Amino acid sequence: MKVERDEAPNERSGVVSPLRGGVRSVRVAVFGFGGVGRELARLLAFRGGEIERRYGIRFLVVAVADSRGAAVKTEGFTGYELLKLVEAHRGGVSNTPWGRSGWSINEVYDEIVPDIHVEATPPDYSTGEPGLSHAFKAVRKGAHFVTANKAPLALKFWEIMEEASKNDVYVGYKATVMAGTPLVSMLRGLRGYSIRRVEGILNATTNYILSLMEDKLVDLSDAVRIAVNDGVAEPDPRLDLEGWDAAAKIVIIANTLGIRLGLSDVNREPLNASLKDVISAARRGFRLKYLAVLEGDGGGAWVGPGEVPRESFLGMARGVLNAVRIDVGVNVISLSGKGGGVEVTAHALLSDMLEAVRGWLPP
Amino acid sequence: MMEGEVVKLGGSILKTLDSYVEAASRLTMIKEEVVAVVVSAARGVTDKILRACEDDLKAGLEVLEFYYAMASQLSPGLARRVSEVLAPLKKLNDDCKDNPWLQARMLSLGEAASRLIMVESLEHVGVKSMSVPATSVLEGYGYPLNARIDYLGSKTRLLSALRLAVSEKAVPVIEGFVASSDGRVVVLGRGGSDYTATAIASLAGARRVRLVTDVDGIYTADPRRVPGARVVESMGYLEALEASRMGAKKMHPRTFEPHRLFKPVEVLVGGWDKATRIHPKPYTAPPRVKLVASKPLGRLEVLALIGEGAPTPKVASRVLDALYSAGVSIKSLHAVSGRPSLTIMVDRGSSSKALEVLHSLVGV
Repeated sequence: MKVERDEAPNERSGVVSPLRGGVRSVRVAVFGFGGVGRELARLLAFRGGEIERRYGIRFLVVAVADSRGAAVKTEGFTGYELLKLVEAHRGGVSNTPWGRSGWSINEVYDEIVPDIHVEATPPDYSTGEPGLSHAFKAVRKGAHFVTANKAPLALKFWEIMEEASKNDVYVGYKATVMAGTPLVSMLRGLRGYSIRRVEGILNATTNYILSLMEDKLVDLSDAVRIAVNDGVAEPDPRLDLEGWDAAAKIVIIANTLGIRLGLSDVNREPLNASLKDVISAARRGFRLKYLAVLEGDGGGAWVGPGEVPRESFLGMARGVLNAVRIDVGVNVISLSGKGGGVEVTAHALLSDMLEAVRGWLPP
Repeated sequence: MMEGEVVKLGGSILKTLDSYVEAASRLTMIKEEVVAVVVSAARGVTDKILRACEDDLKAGLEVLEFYYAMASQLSPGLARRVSEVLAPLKKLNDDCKDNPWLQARMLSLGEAASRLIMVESLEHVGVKSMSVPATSVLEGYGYPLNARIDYLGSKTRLLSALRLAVSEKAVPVIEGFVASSDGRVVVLGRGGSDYTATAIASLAGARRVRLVTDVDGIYTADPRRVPGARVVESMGYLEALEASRMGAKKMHPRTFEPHRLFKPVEVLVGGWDKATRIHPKPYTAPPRVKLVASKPLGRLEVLALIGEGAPTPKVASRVLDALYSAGVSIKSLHAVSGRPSLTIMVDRGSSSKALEVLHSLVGV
């Protein structure tokens, strides 16, 4: 067991763990320090004290790493130091007083093995790197693996899970699908049910773009431009428009439900709708949506544009909302809510970090 | 609750790196007292970004160069960070004109860069300082260019950040004018930094807000037109709002809203050493005329005697007598129930004379 227990009362808050007295220190390393990684660091700086009071867990960030190096402090960064790291320029954590230029995961793990590894690197769906190597390294070294990067799980879900199981560590990935809405937790509660069909709107960017096309009667390229300007779409929204993001999400959903599915098994059609398609659907009482669908009983999965009735559950999920409808035979479960954004994603990561040490939380 | 004061540094005193460092040095003297520092964008920056959004793309690049030059003098790392934050100004296009969300996001960059420079300036003079983006702690709602602060939605996050600053003995620096609405950037309207400062003070339970500008306070009349004008020592919220409405001192119309809804807080408006004290109590005894405000209206000029003592028959009669004796004819004279002012309209041609005459009634 890696997590140390402080027997002394917590000096910072003077409050002891709600469960068994004393506060547990949990060492965290954050890999990938863009928007999400920084927001998580900020969240831990601002809310660390509150988390400690509520759960008796003290998250100590011992390392953050970006594409050019790392910053390491084995006793954990203070809130003040975390905020200094957050304000470093991109790829600049190694220029801070705790910086180690050129360090990658290997050097960091040689120096200190964290209790929780947070993966917030950008996804690469062709190689999975660097997230994939990070995932294996973390779980083999005995660190719980909490990720916002979908690529490792979309490409090698079972391999990572098996390795994690061997090493008795937790893999948390709430931040990967509908981060703002606890879909993954709900899916885990559906084990044992038969799955007839899962259909959903899992990509906020394409949903926003299609809503814009319908509301403003603009064509696809204009809607994409507006979405980028509005701060909803990434400056380079290809992963969303080509369906990679939605496909990775449906793969993660399928595997969580016990259905083995790889990213290459998903039939993927990019968003190529014209304004004419949108209007034609509207005239017939439908809405064009970018759907992700998983058919039960080995029916496979696909992502692409599809029409849904305007008044249906999926038809009513507009703008940046995500929605998913799960038919389990004896019941149909519908869930909708905010998809992503750095803030909700960071919260989902924090929630998974607490889940990783759930054994110490009050029941 | 945090005793102490929220200091808001207005754009008028943030002109060069020296002025940032000077403001930081001033803060070192009261750092134990400071609950938070709220910064505006440096002088002229917001106007330039607005111009860049209209069609003058060069103005956006000027903002970038201006902040970059300041940041470079502090540290190369800061300069890189500032240029990353301001990078969207390089890619502005025609869309900005008609897209309020995009405009809000661009406008917020001037304040964000100012925050980064203020934090580093404080560190430079030996004060531990923390960068707290407004978008992380203030939730807003409504039209993206004139949003309101969601006080209760912001309170928990704001207090978490301020508590961290207390435990780390660091001064938190937050940019004014900016908030986030469902993860997207919104701005609070021109002068919104005052509103940010008073909201933070009220929510944190601070004792006082200091709105630091390049003038010594609110004057009894425009000193450029009335040589004998002097700084008003103290006034109430309603009087200050009325003065703002009538053009005496530009303040965001919601500056005193948080105080009315939450904890009333004293507000100082002016320089570091001299300022007008705006206190939460509505009436001072006895009610007096505090100042004369003026603003043009077509061919007329609206002059207003402001103060709880202004809208009374006694003052109205003295106004009429004094203006009659000076040979100034008036177009109208009126008071509105519940507002601490008496408004007189005169021709532009005779307004200077009228202003001088009315100024002699200050203190009545």
